[in-house]
Amino acid sequence: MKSRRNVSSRKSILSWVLGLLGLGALSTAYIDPGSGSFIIQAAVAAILGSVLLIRAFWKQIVAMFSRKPKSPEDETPPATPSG
Amino acid sequence: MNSRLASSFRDPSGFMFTSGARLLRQINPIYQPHYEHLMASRLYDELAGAGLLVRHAEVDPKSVKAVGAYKVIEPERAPVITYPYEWSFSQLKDAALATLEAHRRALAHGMTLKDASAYNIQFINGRAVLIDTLSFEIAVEGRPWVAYRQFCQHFIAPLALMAHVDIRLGLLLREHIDGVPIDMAAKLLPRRTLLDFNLLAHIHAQAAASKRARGGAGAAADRRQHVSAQGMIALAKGLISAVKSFNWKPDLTRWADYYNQGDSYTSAGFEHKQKLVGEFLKESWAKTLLDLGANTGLYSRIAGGLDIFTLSTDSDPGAVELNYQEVVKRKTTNILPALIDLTNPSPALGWANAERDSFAERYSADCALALALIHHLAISNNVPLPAVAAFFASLSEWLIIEFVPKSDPKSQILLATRKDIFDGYTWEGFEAAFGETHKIQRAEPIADSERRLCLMRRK
Repeated sequence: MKSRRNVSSRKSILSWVLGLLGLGALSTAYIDPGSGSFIIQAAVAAILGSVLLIRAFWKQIVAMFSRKPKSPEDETPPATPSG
Repeated sequence: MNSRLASSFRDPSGFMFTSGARLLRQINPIYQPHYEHLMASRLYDELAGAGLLVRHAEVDPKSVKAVGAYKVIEPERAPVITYPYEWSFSQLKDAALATLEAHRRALAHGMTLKDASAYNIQFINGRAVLIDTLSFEIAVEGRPWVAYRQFCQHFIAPLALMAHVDIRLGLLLREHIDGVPIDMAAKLLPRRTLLDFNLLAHIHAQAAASKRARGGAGAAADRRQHVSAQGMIALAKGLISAVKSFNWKPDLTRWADYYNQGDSYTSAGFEHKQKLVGEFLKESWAKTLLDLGANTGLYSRIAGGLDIFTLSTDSDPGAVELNYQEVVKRKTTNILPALIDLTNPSPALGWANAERDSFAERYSADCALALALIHHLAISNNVPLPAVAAFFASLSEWLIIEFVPKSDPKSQILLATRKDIFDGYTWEGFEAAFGETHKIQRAEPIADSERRLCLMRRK
């Protein structure tokens, strides 16, 4: 397991370094991405990315205000005096 | 003797070739870092385990005389190759989702899909599977998804047109081998789709941006674009929900009672026909079947139950859709529905007419099943019986065929609006025509009907 993790982390470092260098030479992309498509893609990715971010942020806020009770005793509703 | 596949020339990372009966993929040295990352990051294991990527075994390049190879791999073979223009709506949708899921998981492993061609997907064991192991590339931080437009052309545009305009527009994929052009899809889609965020972004805005960006200035603007890692994940998720949002439902009332229409068979006749089909299939010892005019696949399922792999074809997109939905529901692994019009089957297409094979070149079954079909070919399409017999003889060794006489209510419907010019369309004419090409081994009358079911073997 350890050796696998090492290989994996070495690969991540490699991809990070290649990314930093721009990886122009090593890329094997061969299709035409099409003029204008990257502009739309970048805009759509930015919009959808923001939506995801807002959603995650909202979930955290909701979670903060709807903390579940710690023990089953807390769930018992306060006894109402009879009569 | 090795032979490179005519369709395998676009990607310099490698190519497919045959060596004897084996189908192999050569990986060129240029792809080495990407292949190593695919395997070492365990992305391959994850995708293959999830049934999203075809499994392969490494082969010693010397043993298959591969010249200049970094590696040679032998992928699991699909029982039959089908093309996107032969898929039903849900098949194309499932192929799109498999592509996006593979891309999404690749992103989590520092990789990306460098192409998103629908031809990279095949249906294996009832599931959409990516068959191009070399489609993955080490991701570069900030670089937009290079296959975005291709994905839109191969999947978003045809699915949108099928769902919003006409289901038959899926056949545009047959004309446009690299997917439906985005500007054409934008023109054909109704104006109301401008209000749909997915179609506004992926079709209408992209078409407008492409029109505006033609020339050097557009390319320079494209090079400046940056998409963050989070943006790439959001885009993949957004495309997944866009694909899921497309819906199309066939006219259920037309198909639900198809097999039980009283004017074709009584219930005794219907049961008798099913029993005979099962018997004939067993007699032929077929392991593979081509069901022609399968409707929603009732008889294909009899074959499937007998462990016979069946390509279950029909020319009606609604019938193929319902057939595929049933395959998915039952988790059937040995029936593959496909949209094939026998009067105009898929031709050979692409570069040198060799990139995409014709339908007849791709599948050689032990047996063909042609139930309630002959009157459509001979009467609706005017094909002379000897030509029908010769065509069936070219498809398979065994043939199970139903003869539907002119007096049958279904033949009468076909003749109602046209002049009867089919003097030779009789049992005697049928027997004489097929007697030339086949040995008729059994010809059983179907109970309570004038139809006959025949088992034949090619001469």
